[in-house]
Amino acid sequence: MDIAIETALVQRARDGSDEAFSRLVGGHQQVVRAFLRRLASNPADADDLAQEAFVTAWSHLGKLRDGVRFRTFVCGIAYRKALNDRKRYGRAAARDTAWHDLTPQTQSPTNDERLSVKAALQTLPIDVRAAVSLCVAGDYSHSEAAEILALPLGTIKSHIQKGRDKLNILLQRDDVK
Amino acid sequence: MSDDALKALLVDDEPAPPERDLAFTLEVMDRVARRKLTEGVITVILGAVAVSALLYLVMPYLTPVLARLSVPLLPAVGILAALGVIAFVWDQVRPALRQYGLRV
Repeated sequence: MDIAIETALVQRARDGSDEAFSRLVGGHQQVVRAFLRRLASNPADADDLAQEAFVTAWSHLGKLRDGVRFRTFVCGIAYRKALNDRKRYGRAAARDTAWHDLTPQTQSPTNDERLSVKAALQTLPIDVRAAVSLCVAGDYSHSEAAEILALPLGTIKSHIQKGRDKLNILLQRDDVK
Repeated sequence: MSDDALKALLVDDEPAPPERDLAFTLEVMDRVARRKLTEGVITVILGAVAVSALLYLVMPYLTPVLARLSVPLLPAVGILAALGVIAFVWDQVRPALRQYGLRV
Protein backbone atom coordinates (compact mmCIF):
# COMPACT_ATOMS: atom_id res chain seq x y z
CA MET A 1 0.00 0.00 0.00
CA ASP A 2 1.28 3.46 -0.93
CA ILE A 3 2.60 5.38 2.10
CA ALA A 4 0.58 8.54 1.35
CA ILE A 5 -2.66 6.56 1.04
CA GLU A 6 -1.81 4.60 4.18
CA THR A 7 -1.13 7.80 6.17
CA ALA A 8 -4.44 9.29 5.01
CA LEU A 9 -6.31 6.10 5.94
CA VAL A 10 -4.67 6.01 9.38
CA GLN A 11 -5.68 9.64 9.96
CA ARG A 12 -9.26 8.94 8.93
CA ALA A 13 -9.36 5.80 11.08
CA ARG A 14 -8.12 7.84 14.06
CA ASP A 15 -10.99 10.27 13.40
CA GLY A 16 -13.42 7.37 13.74
CA SER A 17 -13.86 6.09 10.18
CA ASP A 18 -14.60 2.35 10.17
CA GLU A 19 -14.40 2.33 6.38
CA ALA A 20 -10.80 3.61 6.49
CA PHE A 21 -9.82 1.06 9.12
CA SER A 22 -11.38 -1.80 7.15
CA ARG A 23 -9.32 -0.73 4.12
CA LEU A 24 -6.18 -0.80 6.30
CA VAL A 25 -7.10 -4.31 7.48
CA GLY A 26 -7.77 -5.47 3.90
CA GLY A 27 -4.48 -4.04 2.70
CA HIS A 28 -2.33 -5.54 5.45
CA GLN A 29 -4.03 -8.81 6.41
CA GLN A 30 -1.85 -10.90 4.10
CA VAL A 31 1.51 -9.82 5.56
CA VAL A 32 0.35 -10.03 9.17
CA ARG A 33 -1.21 -13.47 8.72
CA ALA A 34 1.81 -14.78 6.79
CA PHE A 35 4.10 -13.59 9.63
CA LEU A 36 1.93 -15.18 12.33
CA ARG A 37 1.56 -18.48 10.48
CA ARG A 38 5.30 -19.01 10.94
CA LEU A 39 5.04 -18.33 14.69
CA ALA A 40 1.78 -20.08 15.64
CA SER A 41 1.18 -23.80 15.80
CA ASN A 42 -1.51 -23.83 13.10
CA PRO A 43 -3.11 -21.44 10.56
CA ALA A 44 -6.41 -21.15 12.48
CA ASP A 45 -4.61 -19.97 15.63
CA ALA A 46 -2.51 -17.61 13.54
CA ASP A 47 -5.60 -16.05 11.94
CA ASP A 48 -7.26 -15.68 15.34
CA LEU A 49 -4.17 -13.91 16.68
CA ALA A 50 -4.08 -11.72 13.56
CA GLN A 51 -7.70 -10.64 14.12
CA GLU A 52 -6.98 -9.83 17.76
CA ALA A 53 -3.87 -7.90 16.70
CA PHE A 54 -5.94 -5.74 14.31
CA VAL A 55 -8.55 -5.08 17.01
CA THR A 56 -5.80 -4.03 19.44
CA ALA A 57 -4.28 -1.86 16.70
CA TRP A 58 -7.68 -0.18 16.27
CA SER A 59 -7.94 0.63 19.97
CA HIS A 60 -4.30 1.86 20.16
CA LEU A 61 -4.23 3.73 16.85
CA GLY A 62 -3.40 6.93 18.72
CA LYS A 63 -0.06 5.38 19.77
CA LEU A 64 1.09 4.85 16.17
CA ARG A 65 4.05 7.23 15.84
CA ASP A 66 4.66 9.31 12.72
CA GLY A 67 7.08 7.59 10.36
CA VAL A 68 6.18 4.08 11.53
CA ARG A 69 4.38 1.98 8.92
CA PHE A 70 1.00 0.48 9.84
CA ARG A 71 2.25 -3.05 9.05
CA THR A 72 5.18 -2.53 11.47
CA PHE A 73 2.74 -1.37 14.16
CA VAL A 74 0.36 -4.32 13.68
CA CYS A 75 3.14 -6.91 13.35
CA GLY A 76 4.64 -5.63 16.63
CA ILE A 77 1.29 -6.13 18.37
CA ALA A 78 0.89 -9.52 16.67
CA TYR A 79 4.33 -10.64 17.84
CA ARG A 80 3.57 -9.74 21.46
CA LYS A 81 0.25 -11.61 21.20
CA ALA A 82 2.07 -14.64 19.76
CA LEU A 83 4.52 -14.54 22.69
CA ASN A 84 1.66 -14.43 25.22
CA ASP A 85 -0.18 -17.18 23.38
CA ARG A 86 2.97 -19.31 23.41
CA LYS A 87 3.29 -18.88 27.19
CA ARG A 88 -0.34 -19.97 27.63
CA TYR A 89 0.18 -22.88 25.21
CA GLY A 90 3.35 -23.86 27.11
CA ARG A 91 1.45 -24.09 30.39
CA ALA A 92 -1.33 -26.15 28.75
CA ALA A 93 1.25 -28.40 27.07
CA ALA A 94 3.00 -28.97 30.41
CA ARG A 95 -0.35 -30.08 31.92
CA ASP A 96 -1.00 -32.36 28.91
CA THR A 97 2.48 -33.88 29.21
CA ALA A 98 1.95 -34.58 32.91
CA TRP A 99 -1.39 -36.24 32.09
CA HIS A 100 0.21 -38.14 29.17
CA ASP A 101 2.94 -39.50 31.48
CA LEU A 102 0.32 -40.75 33.93
CA THR A 103 -1.79 -42.47 31.23
CA PRO A 104 -0.75 -45.93 29.89
CA GLN A 105 0.16 -45.62 26.19
CA THR A 106 -1.14 -48.15 23.68
CA GLN A 107 0.82 -46.96 20.62
CA SER A 108 4.51 -46.37 20.17
CA PRO A 109 5.51 -43.02 18.68
CA THR A 110 6.12 -42.95 14.94
CA ASN A 111 9.62 -42.34 13.62
CA ASP A 112 9.34 -39.84 10.84
CA GLU A 113 12.89 -38.86 10.24
CA ARG A 114 12.23 -36.43 7.48
CA LEU A 115 12.45 -32.92 8.84
CA SER A 116 10.01 -30.57 7.10
CA VAL A 117 10.75 -26.91 6.58
CA LYS A 118 8.06 -26.03 9.09
CA ALA A 119 9.51 -28.44 11.66
CA ALA A 120 12.98 -27.01 11.08
CA LEU A 121 11.60 -23.50 11.60
CA GLN A 122 9.84 -24.65 14.78
CA THR A 123 13.18 -25.72 16.27
CA LEU A 124 14.34 -22.10 16.30
CA PRO A 125 13.68 -19.91 19.37
CA ILE A 126 10.64 -17.72 18.72
CA ASP A 127 12.58 -14.44 18.45
CA VAL A 128 15.03 -15.99 15.95
CA ARG A 129 12.10 -17.51 14.03
CA ALA A 130 10.33 -14.16 13.96
CA ALA A 131 13.47 -12.40 12.68
CA VAL A 132 13.97 -15.03 9.95
CA SER A 133 10.26 -14.91 9.01
CA LEU A 134 10.36 -11.14 8.63
CA CYS A 135 13.72 -10.60 6.94
CA VAL A 136 14.39 -13.84 5.04
CA ALA A 137 10.91 -15.16 4.19
CA GLY A 138 9.36 -11.66 4.12
CA ASP A 139 10.61 -8.41 2.65
CA TYR A 140 11.08 -6.45 5.88
CA SER A 141 14.23 -4.43 6.48
CA HIS A 142 16.39 -5.15 9.51
CA SER A 143 15.37 -1.85 11.11
CA GLU A 144 11.67 -2.66 10.59
CA ALA A 145 12.19 -6.08 12.20
CA ALA A 146 14.00 -4.39 15.11
CA GLU A 147 10.98 -2.10 15.58
CA ILE A 148 8.50 -5.01 15.39
CA LEU A 149 10.37 -7.30 17.77
CA ALA A 150 11.51 -4.44 20.06
CA LEU A 151 15.12 -5.64 19.83
CA PRO A 152 18.35 -3.80 18.98
CA LEU A 153 19.42 -3.84 15.33
CA GLY A 154 22.57 -5.83 16.16
CA THR A 155 20.51 -8.53 17.85
CA ILE A 156 18.27 -8.81 14.80
CA LYS A 157 21.29 -9.28 12.52
CA SER A 158 22.73 -11.89 14.85
CA HIS A 159 19.35 -13.70 15.10
CA ILE A 160 19.06 -13.82 11.31
CA GLN A 161 22.57 -15.19 10.96
CA LYS A 162 21.98 -17.82 13.66
CA GLY A 163 18.62 -18.81 12.17
CA ARG A 164 20.00 -19.00 8.65
CA ASP A 165 22.93 -21.17 9.79
CA LYS A 166 20.71 -23.55 11.74
CA LEU A 167 18.15 -23.85 8.92
CA ASN A 168 20.98 -24.53 6.47
CA ILE A 169 22.19 -27.39 8.64
CA LEU A 170 18.70 -28.81 9.25
CA LEU A 171 17.39 -28.51 5.70
CA GLN A 172 20.49 -29.46 3.75
CA ARG A 173 19.97 -33.14 4.55
CA ASP A 174 16.37 -33.52 3.41
CA ASP A 175 15.02 -30.70 1.35
CA VAL A 176 17.95 -29.32 -0.54
CA LYS A 177 19.68 -31.65 -2.93
CA MET B 1 22.26 -22.56 0.76
CA SER B 2 21.80 -19.05 -0.64
CA ASP B 3 19.33 -16.55 0.83
CA ASP B 4 17.13 -16.85 -2.25
CA ALA B 5 17.03 -20.65 -1.97
CA LEU B 6 16.17 -20.42 1.73
CA LYS B 7 13.48 -17.83 1.02
CA ALA B 8 12.00 -20.04 -1.72
CA LEU B 9 11.89 -23.00 0.69
CA LEU B 10 10.20 -20.97 3.42
CA VAL B 11 7.67 -19.43 1.04
CA ASP B 12 6.86 -22.76 -0.66
CA ASP B 13 6.35 -24.46 2.70
CA GLU B 14 3.92 -21.86 4.05
CA PRO B 15 1.96 -20.32 1.16
CA ALA B 16 0.81 -16.77 1.89
CA PRO B 17 -2.88 -16.17 2.65
CA PRO B 18 -4.91 -14.62 -0.20
CA GLU B 19 -4.14 -11.00 -1.04
CA ARG B 20 -7.84 -10.11 -0.68
CA ASP B 21 -9.89 -11.84 1.99
CA LEU B 22 -13.20 -10.12 2.63
CA ALA B 23 -14.26 -12.71 5.24
CA PHE B 24 -11.18 -11.95 7.34
CA THR B 25 -11.74 -8.18 7.11
CA LEU B 26 -15.42 -8.60 8.05
CA GLU B 27 -14.48 -10.76 11.03
CA VAL B 28 -12.03 -8.08 12.24
CA MET B 29 -14.62 -5.31 11.81
CA ASP B 30 -17.17 -7.45 13.67
CA ARG B 31 -14.74 -7.77 16.58
CA VAL B 32 -14.08 -4.01 16.44
CA ALA B 33 -17.84 -3.34 16.59
CA ARG B 34 -18.20 -5.67 19.57
CA ARG B 35 -15.25 -3.99 21.32
CA LYS B 36 -16.82 -0.56 20.67
CA LEU B 37 -20.15 -1.72 22.08
CA THR B 38 -18.50 -3.19 25.19
CA GLU B 39 -16.45 -0.04 25.77
CA GLY B 40 -19.56 2.11 25.21
CA VAL B 41 -21.65 0.10 27.68
CA ILE B 42 -18.86 0.18 30.30
CA THR B 43 -18.45 3.95 29.86
CA VAL B 44 -22.20 4.56 30.22
CA ILE B 45 -22.44 2.31 33.31
CA LEU B 46 -19.42 3.91 34.99
CA GLY B 47 -20.71 7.38 34.12
CA ALA B 48 -24.15 6.57 35.52
CA VAL B 49 -22.65 5.18 38.73
CA ALA B 50 -20.40 8.24 39.14
CA VAL B 51 -23.28 10.69 38.55
CA SER B 52 -25.55 8.74 40.91
CA ALA B 53 -22.90 8.76 43.65
CA LEU B 54 -22.28 12.47 43.15
CA LEU B 55 -25.99 13.27 43.29
CA TYR B 56 -26.41 11.10 46.40
CA LEU B 57 -23.75 13.18 48.13
CA VAL B 58 -24.74 16.60 46.82
CA MET B 59 -28.53 16.55 46.58
CA PRO B 60 -29.30 16.99 50.34
CA TYR B 61 -27.46 20.34 50.18
CA LEU B 62 -28.61 21.28 46.69
CA THR B 63 -32.34 20.56 47.00
CA PRO B 64 -33.28 23.58 49.18
CA VAL B 65 -31.29 25.95 46.91
CA LEU B 66 -32.85 24.50 43.74
CA ALA B 67 -36.32 24.79 45.24
CA ARG B 68 -35.74 28.52 45.86
CA LEU B 69 -34.24 29.17 42.40
CA SER B 70 -36.44 26.87 40.31
CA VAL B 71 -38.93 29.47 39.07
CA PRO B 72 -36.43 32.23 38.09
CA LEU B 73 -34.03 29.71 36.47
CA LEU B 74 -36.63 27.79 34.44
CA PRO B 75 -35.95 29.48 31.03
CA ALA B 76 -32.17 29.08 31.42
CA VAL B 77 -32.55 25.39 32.31
CA GLY B 78 -34.75 24.86 29.24
CA ILE B 79 -32.18 26.50 26.96
CA LEU B 80 -29.28 24.54 28.50
CA ALA B 81 -31.19 21.26 28.15
CA ALA B 82 -31.94 21.98 24.48
CA LEU B 83 -28.27 22.86 23.82
CA GLY B 84 -27.18 19.65 25.57
CA VAL B 85 -29.49 17.55 23.40
CA ILE B 86 -28.23 19.28 20.24
CA ALA B 87 -24.58 18.75 21.26
CA PHE B 88 -25.20 15.06 22.01
CA VAL B 89 -26.99 14.42 18.72
CA TRP B 90 -24.26 16.28 16.80
CA ASP B 91 -21.56 14.20 18.47
CA GLN B 92 -23.39 10.96 17.57
CA VAL B 93 -24.15 11.91 13.97
CA ARG B 94 -20.77 13.46 13.04
CA PRO B 95 -18.86 10.15 12.37
CA ALA B 96 -21.63 9.00 10.00
CA LEU B 97 -21.54 12.34 8.14
CA ARG B 98 -17.76 12.02 7.80
CA GLN B 99 -18.18 8.61 6.24
CA TYR B 100 -20.38 10.24 3.59
CA GLY B 101 -17.51 12.62 2.79
CA LEU B 102 -18.84 15.70 4.62
CA ARG B 103 -15.99 17.51 6.36
CA VAL B 104 -17.62 18.33 9.71
